[in-house]
Amino acid sequence: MSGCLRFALIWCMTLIAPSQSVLAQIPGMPAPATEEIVETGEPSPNDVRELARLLSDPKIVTWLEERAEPVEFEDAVAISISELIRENSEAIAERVHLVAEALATLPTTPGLLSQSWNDRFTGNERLALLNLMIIFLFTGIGLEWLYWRYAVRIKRWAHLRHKAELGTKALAVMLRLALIAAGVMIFIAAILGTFGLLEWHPAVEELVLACLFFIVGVRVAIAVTNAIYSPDDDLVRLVPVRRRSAGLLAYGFVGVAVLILAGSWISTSSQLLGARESAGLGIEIIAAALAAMLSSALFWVVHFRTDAQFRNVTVIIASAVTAVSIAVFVFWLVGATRVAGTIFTIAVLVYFGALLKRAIGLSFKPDDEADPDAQESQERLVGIYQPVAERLGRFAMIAIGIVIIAMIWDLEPWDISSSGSVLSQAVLILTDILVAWLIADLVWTMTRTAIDRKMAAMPKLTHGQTPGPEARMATLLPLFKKVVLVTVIVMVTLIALSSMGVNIAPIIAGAGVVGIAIGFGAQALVRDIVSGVFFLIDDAFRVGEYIEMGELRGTVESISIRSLRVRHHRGAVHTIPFGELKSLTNYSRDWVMMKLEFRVPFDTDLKLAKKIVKRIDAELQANPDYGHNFLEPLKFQGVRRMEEFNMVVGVKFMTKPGEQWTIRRDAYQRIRDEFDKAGIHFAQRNVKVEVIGSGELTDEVKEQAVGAAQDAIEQQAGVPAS
Amino acid sequence: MLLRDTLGVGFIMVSKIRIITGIVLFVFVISHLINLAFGLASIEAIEAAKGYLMAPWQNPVGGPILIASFVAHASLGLWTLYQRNTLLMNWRDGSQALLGLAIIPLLLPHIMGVVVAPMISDVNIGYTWVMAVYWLFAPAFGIQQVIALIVIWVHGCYGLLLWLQVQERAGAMVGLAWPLVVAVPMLALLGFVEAGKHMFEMRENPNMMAEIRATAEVMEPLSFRLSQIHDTVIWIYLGVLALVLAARFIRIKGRTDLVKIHYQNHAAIQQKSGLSLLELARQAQIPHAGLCGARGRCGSCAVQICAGDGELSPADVRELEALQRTGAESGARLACQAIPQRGQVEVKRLYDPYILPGEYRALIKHQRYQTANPQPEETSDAPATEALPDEPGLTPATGEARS
Repeated sequence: MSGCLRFALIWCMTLIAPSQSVLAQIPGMPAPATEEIVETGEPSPNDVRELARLLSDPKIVTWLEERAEPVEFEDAVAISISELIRENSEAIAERVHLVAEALATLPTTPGLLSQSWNDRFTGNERLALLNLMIIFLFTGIGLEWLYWRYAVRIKRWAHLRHKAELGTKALAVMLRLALIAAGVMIFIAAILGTFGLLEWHPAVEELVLACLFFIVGVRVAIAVTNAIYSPDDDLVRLVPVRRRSAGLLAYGFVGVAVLILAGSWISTSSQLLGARESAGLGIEIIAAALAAMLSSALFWVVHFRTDAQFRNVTVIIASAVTAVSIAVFVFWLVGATRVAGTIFTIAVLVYFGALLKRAIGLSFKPDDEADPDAQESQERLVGIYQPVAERLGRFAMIAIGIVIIAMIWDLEPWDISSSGSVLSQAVLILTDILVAWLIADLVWTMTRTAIDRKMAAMPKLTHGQTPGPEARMATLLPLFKKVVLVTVIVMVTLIALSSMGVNIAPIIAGAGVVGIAIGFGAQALVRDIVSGVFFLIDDAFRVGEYIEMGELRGTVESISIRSLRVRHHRGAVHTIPFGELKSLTNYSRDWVMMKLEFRVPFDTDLKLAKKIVKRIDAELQANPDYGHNFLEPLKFQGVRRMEEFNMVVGVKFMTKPGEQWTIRRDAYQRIRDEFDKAGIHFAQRNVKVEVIGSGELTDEVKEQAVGAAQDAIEQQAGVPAS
Repeated sequence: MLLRDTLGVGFIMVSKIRIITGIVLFVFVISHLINLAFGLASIEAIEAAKGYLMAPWQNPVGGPILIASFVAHASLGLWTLYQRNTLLMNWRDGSQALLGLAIIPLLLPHIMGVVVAPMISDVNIGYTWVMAVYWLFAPAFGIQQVIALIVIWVHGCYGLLLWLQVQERAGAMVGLAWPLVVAVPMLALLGFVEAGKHMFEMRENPNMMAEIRATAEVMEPLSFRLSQIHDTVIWIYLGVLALVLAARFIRIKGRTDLVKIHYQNHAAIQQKSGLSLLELARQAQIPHAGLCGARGRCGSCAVQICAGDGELSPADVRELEALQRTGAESGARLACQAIPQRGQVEVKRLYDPYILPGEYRALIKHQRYQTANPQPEETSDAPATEALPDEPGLTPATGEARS
């Protein structure tokens, strides 16, 4: 636990450390014991000559090589697992022994520690050291205070923007965190900078640095807890707790940090002063145990303060924190510092990840006070970017976690490939796969959310309504989504295989060969797909449109990647592969012209008829059901042609596609009724027999006339009227 | 009435004397700290710079001025303590008062060593000796001096800031002075550290040690007397302090009347009389502007008396002057000066509780301009320049140190 914190400090340090020599002096690093470098003069010319002579001797060289080989060989061989376990268990046993010793001698520890201080420094020197610490502390505080004189304006600006629109709010949240981080950086830089400015006696340098790390650690802890829990500002708090609990958590965690840092400081300083390792360890164990207890106690207190409805969440958090605290403490106690560090890192990053997600959510939360329109546009923006931002945050968290854990295990991520151990190889492969998967996940989420938002934004197609131009996108977008998904999965699989050491070139080549083979077989399929894409790009048809292809006709029901499904108005469903489509007639585009014809006698008053049609047009246009579907009014077109016994008058109108049938029905009906009322009768088929002469017709003549008419009727019946 | 006017003039005088003596002391502190900063070069450099920097305070004119300023400033501090209606101040005023009270006990050993000792004997106190004492022989005194330095510096800077930030011209310049506020004490402390390091290195140097030993031999017989004087002064100081607190207690004890104050948009406060409106408001967690620290200087705590039959302490000259200067209407009072005597009053804050000094200065300028050239269509009822959220979480920019 403390190792991890120390690590964080060292990391901060590397950013600002004035020189490498300071780094080398960091306490707690597995630094070599301060060995005296033996003063050696220049070798005498004779010795050099002798060495050169020996090296030029082939016998000596072979002998050296023989000696050197087995060593190299042993290095390359992987350490067997049993050996590893044996070594580890030995180390653990040793550590447990040390811990037992530390606990057994605990009552004498304070005496021992003060003794080690007394041996090294006089009382006055200790006070002078304390004075130095006070001065350093005030230097840091002073410079950070100066920073806040100017930064407070930005902070205030950001604070006022926490209720602003989306982009600004996200900026404000980030800005606040950045400002706090910069303040801490300045504090650290001021302290370590002034430390570096003054030259130090090597005896006190490490000790002073150990003390400064304590101060810096406490400052970092205060900044982090303040950034997260924000005890005096509800608006910017990242954790959903009340002010009271936020204060408790913030100060409690500062307490935890102080305990850990103090324990670590006592142990390192006592070791620097030459006390027994177990002496400092005893104090460190107590401090760590207290810290573990305090950190879990904090979350339990918060749990019992929370309202009953949220307790199912807080109980999980509190139990998890307790488990992690115990695990970290136990692992650290038995000396498995790396395991402890790993667990701690993962736990902290999981918590931070959740916080980050909330911070993102907070910055994307639409403003309650904004007007509804703005809210809607905000929501659309949120829908697209929030999941992406969350993924990015998770991505960053996992990346940081990998790097930190790798560093804890002494695996340096950047030159991991050069070391040959199985473990590092495995880590490398896993890292590769994880990174590929994360990037793929990011791409997939971005695509999916963008497409889903577009789809959701389209108006829902109600039954019987003609689809608008967006129907084409409704066809293409799912297709595109599938293509992206397949591509991403294939690429991730290939990358995973390739990082596992599988040579993917044959797979790709094989896929090519198989592709060709399948391609021949599936030529028609390919043709279908490709021509389908082009039909869609051409916007030849959309879902819901009435189309005709050769002899087949009907309403488009669905479009798949290969074929088109059309329902005939009598219910039959046709499935037509796109490849089969040569030309296609679409009856549902833009407008439809309808022409109606009536046969009226020659003596019809055309002006009257025109007037009647005009009136009917007005009535139809006023109809609430379909009046709005007219594109052009019902128009009387006059006489279209003359026929043998009557004339043909025309009427036409233009409507939106699919609406013409209802209007035609009503138009026919009304025109018939109105014509009838006005005394215009539709021409009816009759046969006129003219009998030349005058006077009464005899029955015979009548019979002959009927016979003549019969002929004409039969003749006409044989030839259907046009 | 005459007595009150005299008193009011007296208050203005107190305010003026306080700031003038404070500035004198501050200038002295600055020159002393700059002198100490020469320690970054060497102890000899401090000694050399002392001849120039400290000379104005070591002659028959400067010395008495300094001493008089110190005595006057300290007495005024105690007088203000006596005048305080409540000791529960907000944390800034409270720390300012505590820092001020801490200065004498913190600084006394230093004064004993470097001022009184040469006065009662012919010992010559040099920086080598002082550094040797503070780093080698009695580091506890060293710690005390470092803390005294910081306490004095913070007290001085904050006092100066309270005075400056409501001044019309100088107020705008405050922002430029921040780096100096940090640089001067930091350099002084680093000079002190560097000199201390030098002392540790030279510990074995016989020449220097001989010089120190010579001073130590002279100081040795003096130490008993010095500590006697030191203790006497401390006891006198504590006695005076206790006396002032007791007098204040008696002054306040007599009050039994109940007052009821109702700030607009806030719950009513009901309490025993004796506190000013500002103190009542702050105790009840009602945010309130008060840029000069309840000294009746700035006028930013002005309130309008809206209703109520309550009786307030009458306004003195200082308050009237401040109200007139800020162009307030009749019926306005300074919340830091008006003390409700009895009854009920309903008041309204005239300025935004979170107003910043810069905003306030601009506003006052504007209001004065309006009073000089009245425009009938504009009402001066809406004084807040910027609508800030009325939340207790939002702290004004002044003096917000997170460290």
